[in-house]
Amino acid sequence: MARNRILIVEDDKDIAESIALNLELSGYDCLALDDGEAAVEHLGADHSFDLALLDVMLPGLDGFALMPHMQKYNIPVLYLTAKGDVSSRVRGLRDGAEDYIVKPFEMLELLVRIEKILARTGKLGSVLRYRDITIDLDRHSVTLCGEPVALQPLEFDLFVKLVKFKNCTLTRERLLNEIWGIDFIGGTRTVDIHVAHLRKKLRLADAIVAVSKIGYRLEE
Amino acid sequence: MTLPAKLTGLSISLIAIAVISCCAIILSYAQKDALSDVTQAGLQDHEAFYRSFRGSASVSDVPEHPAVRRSFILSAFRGTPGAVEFTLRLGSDFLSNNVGFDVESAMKGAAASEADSYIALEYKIVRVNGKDYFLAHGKIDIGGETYDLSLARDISDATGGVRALALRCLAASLVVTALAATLMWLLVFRSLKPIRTLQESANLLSRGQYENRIAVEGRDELAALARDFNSMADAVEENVGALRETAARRQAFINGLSHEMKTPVTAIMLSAETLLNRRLSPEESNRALARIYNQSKWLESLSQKLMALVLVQGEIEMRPESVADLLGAVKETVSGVFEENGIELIVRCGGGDLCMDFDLMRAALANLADNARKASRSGQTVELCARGNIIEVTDHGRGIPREEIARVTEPFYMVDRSRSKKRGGAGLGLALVRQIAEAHGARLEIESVLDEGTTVRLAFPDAR
Repeated sequence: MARNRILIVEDDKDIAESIALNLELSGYDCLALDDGEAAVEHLGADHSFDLALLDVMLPGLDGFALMPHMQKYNIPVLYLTAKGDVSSRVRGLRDGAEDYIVKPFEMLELLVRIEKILARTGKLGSVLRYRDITIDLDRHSVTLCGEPVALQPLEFDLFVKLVKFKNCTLTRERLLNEIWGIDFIGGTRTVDIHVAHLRKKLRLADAIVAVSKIGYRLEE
Repeated sequence: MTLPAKLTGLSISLIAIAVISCCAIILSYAQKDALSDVTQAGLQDHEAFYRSFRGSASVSDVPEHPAVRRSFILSAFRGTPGAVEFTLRLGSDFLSNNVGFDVESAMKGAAASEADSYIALEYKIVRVNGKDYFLAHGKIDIGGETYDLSLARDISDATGGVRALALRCLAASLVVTALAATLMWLLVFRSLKPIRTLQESANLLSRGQYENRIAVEGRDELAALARDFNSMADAVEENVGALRETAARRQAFINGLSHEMKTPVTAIMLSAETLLNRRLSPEESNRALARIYNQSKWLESLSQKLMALVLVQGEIEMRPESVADLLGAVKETVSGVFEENGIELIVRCGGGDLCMDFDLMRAALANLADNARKASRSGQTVELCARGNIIEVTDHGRGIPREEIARVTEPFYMVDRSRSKKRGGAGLGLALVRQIAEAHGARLEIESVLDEGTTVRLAFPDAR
């Protein structure tokens, strides 16, 4: 299954590098450009992107000016900006952007928003792969080396989350809130128990790394 | 209580007191006159009656027999004209009394009539049973017996007249006072209209409408007050305007600063977050750390520029310094960089001294020279000239678009943001130069034409 391709247009090189690095580690292919005109030129030749991350304040053609080009190729847009004022946000959304995130932001938040947009536009792959494990999200099934593995519903959700955010440390609290729900009255001990089950059932003892006092990380 | 009411009340009270006092004085004199007429007449009538009565009673011998004597005296009494007003009494025998009360007992505290009167008389005015009486009493000897002969005259008409007059005076006073009060109140109300206008304007001023002014009419104290109010409003409007402008500039500075800091902070945060949460290869880790390092250094340089900006805002020490020395020092500071870029710096100096802080001026001019260099191409020249109280830096390079000239001295403002940032610029250079100029009391002027060049001029207040 092909990885999602994301276009990044951001004039600060360090920010662009950090974002690209994180997206690659999360399983997306990225292309970073630092100039609006360069982006338009590139789109002429290659426009098969599933999402565009645009900085609103670019030299020359700014983020808003790039919107029509993105819309021409049906590329959903997520705006990055340092401008916190409401009018810019409203303008971005009115012009047709899918979403908006204000700098400085946390990488995890960006990843979740990207995922949501891809899901909404139907570009998110429904099959996830990790080593020799395949997850079919539509059929809700998991196979290891071709053999089906029976997972409890919560185990399934937990594993999917770890895979989607692989290489990223997820806190116990976050996992608890997102998978068990905010109303869940219970401690994070249940997260540890489910992780133990996954390790055993999918032979991931070395892959699911416990980050001391924080949470878990599924490593490549 | 309102001012018109106070003034009217006060005046009317005074008028009322005056009017009533006048009336009271006049009435008391009228009363006195009336009473003295009555007294005169009464005393005279008593004398006349006495003589006449005496005469009649002495015509023949007084009879011996008490009863006969009594009727003899009585008939003589009754025969005397005017007897109806008189009373005659012998001891406890009231021979004649038409007034219905004991006259003699009512004489307590009576005044004695003057000397050389025909008999000793005492008289008094009394009020009995709702009527006023003039009483005059004397003792008369007839046939060896002492009789009390008294005049008891009803003077109610006379006194009543004065009383009626008093009532009419009171009524008239009340009417007059009421009319005067109304009139006075209207006049005062109208005269005080300027004060109401003043009060409304002061109210508007206090609520933030600083443009409001009063129309000045006339030349009295109220007009002077209106004029002073207007001056005060002018001062308030000016001060508030200045304060607002300062606050706005400060806010713009803070906004700019916070904006400039967000980018390096975001870059540092993202890199650090990546290092914490991800397992990275050694090169990727090093690259992330390098990003953190570079952005931190940028923040440090930004904070240094800000410090410079803040320090200049304080008082600076100025001394007369040689302009030639200054320009020489500037040339020395920038010559290395100019040579590297193949741009020539020409210095023209008119000589003389200016009052300045040498180091600050050198920094400002070096900044302007450096800007001129960055705008120029290799092979071009930059001129640094001083004549009289003007020092200017001219280049023949890129130029500044006309609509941006006014904004280039704003903190953090950059005409070409990406080019400036690539060179590590923060947009604070010209803001600093302007600050230094202002601290010296000098004007900063910028003239520029696109693709032809720019001149930045510092005009000092006086030449030495």
